[in-house]
Amino acid sequence: MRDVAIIGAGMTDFGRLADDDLIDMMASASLRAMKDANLGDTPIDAVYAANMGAGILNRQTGIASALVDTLSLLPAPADTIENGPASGASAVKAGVLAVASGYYDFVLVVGGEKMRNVTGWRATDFVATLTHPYAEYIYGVTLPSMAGMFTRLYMEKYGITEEHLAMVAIKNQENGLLNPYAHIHMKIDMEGILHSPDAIVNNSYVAKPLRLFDCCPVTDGAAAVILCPADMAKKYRKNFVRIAGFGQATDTHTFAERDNPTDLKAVTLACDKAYKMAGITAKDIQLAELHDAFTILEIAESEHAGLFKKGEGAKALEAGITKINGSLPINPSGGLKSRGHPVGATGVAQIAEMTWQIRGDAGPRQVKKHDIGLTVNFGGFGNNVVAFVLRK
Amino acid sequence: MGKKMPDAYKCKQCGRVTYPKRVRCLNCKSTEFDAMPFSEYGNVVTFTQSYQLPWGIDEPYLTLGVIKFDNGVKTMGRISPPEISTGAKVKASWEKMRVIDGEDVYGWMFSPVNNG
Repeated sequence: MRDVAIIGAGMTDFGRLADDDLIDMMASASLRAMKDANLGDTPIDAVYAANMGAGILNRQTGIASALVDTLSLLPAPADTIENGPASGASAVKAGVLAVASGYYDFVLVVGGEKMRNVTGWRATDFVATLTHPYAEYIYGVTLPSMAGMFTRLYMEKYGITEEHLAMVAIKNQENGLLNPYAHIHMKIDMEGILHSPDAIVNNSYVAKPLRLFDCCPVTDGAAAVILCPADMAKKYRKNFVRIAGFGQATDTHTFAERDNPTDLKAVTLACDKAYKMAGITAKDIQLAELHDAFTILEIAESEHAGLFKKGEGAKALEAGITKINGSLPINPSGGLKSRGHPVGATGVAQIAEMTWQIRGDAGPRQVKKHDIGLTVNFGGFGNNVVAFVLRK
Repeated sequence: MGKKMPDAYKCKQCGRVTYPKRVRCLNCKSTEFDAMPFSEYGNVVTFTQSYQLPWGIDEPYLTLGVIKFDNGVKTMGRISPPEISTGAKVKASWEKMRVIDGEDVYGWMFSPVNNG
């Protein structure tokens, strides 16, 4: 196995990109990553394209084939990777394995999703196709409603309050103000979203106890990275980033089948594998990009990843530890909450952000200690999780 | 799901109960299961009121929950009326949920039971 490096990263703006089709967005992110990698005439040996639902959302399949054509990368081998909302990190994993094996040298990994061309109802229905077709989907179960059920139990078990959830939203939207790629550029405060008489209107319930500002937006966007063997990386970029470790784990398809519904087992297993491969423990992590599709998930993942003890994630949040200037910043990008969640793009966007942070290129949202970071891409409702440890 | 109430399943080898049917037991990997009926009552594990519903559902909101039946099987379903709390006792019935692609689809409906 060869060590693998990230020598380039690129993203489109995340948001409502009405004028760009899915392939345009993915091509745009790819070109930015290729430019960032200073590739020059070096050919791309293979492409991994992450996308969850263009077949449903855009009536288009064979995404990787369309992408290599428009990018004039023919005849490079190209695969589309679908793994629900963890498609992005799964595609990076496929690329890393391909380079580590010695089979390919220069690999483009790009994730993209175009979701805003359908109504919110249709987008919600699309994401709900992740659930079990006749034990869950038929009831009208959505990902926010599963998250609502999880949140209720987590709040009861660990004494988490609506204020804690709102703190995640406020922090991540503050971080998002510093991220030019973010979908949501809006400062919010506790008074406006929770305590004022207007809060119930400003911040109505989506799936009790989760409110509007506890949920990530529906977003268009694409993100890309360029991988190559670490021993070739220096020629392209002095401050390349190393893939120190990765891990992936799965859990039951139906939420009801879990023995302990507040245990996100796959998060713990995926992170433990990534730490082991990197030769570190959770204590060594200096910053993290976690999958906060719902505010509760940032708190729960921070605990299941071992960054804080169970039940102490909310205390760390209260103490400001997870702010950009705290001792363990979480989601300096704004997270899914503010950057947005184009499902197939998210895992790649997390890794692109971590690449910039580790290089020290994150501009106003740069964290102080940035030698080693964790990303967690959470698929289904925690039934397929991919974690990465990146380092200087 | 059709009008007929489904069965749950019990692993012949280790006794683990499961729903819906799976190919191998999550506990012992056996492929042999006995069909078993759901029990009449259960308790609420967790629930939510969901206001942002997918395309194809006309209700303004739904109360959805995970219920543990008295015989140990756990499944998701709808709860009505919506006044409920975790741990509450519910009675299960198999009812029409919605129409998908022109067909009536049935599922579990749970109603709170007054313990008084």
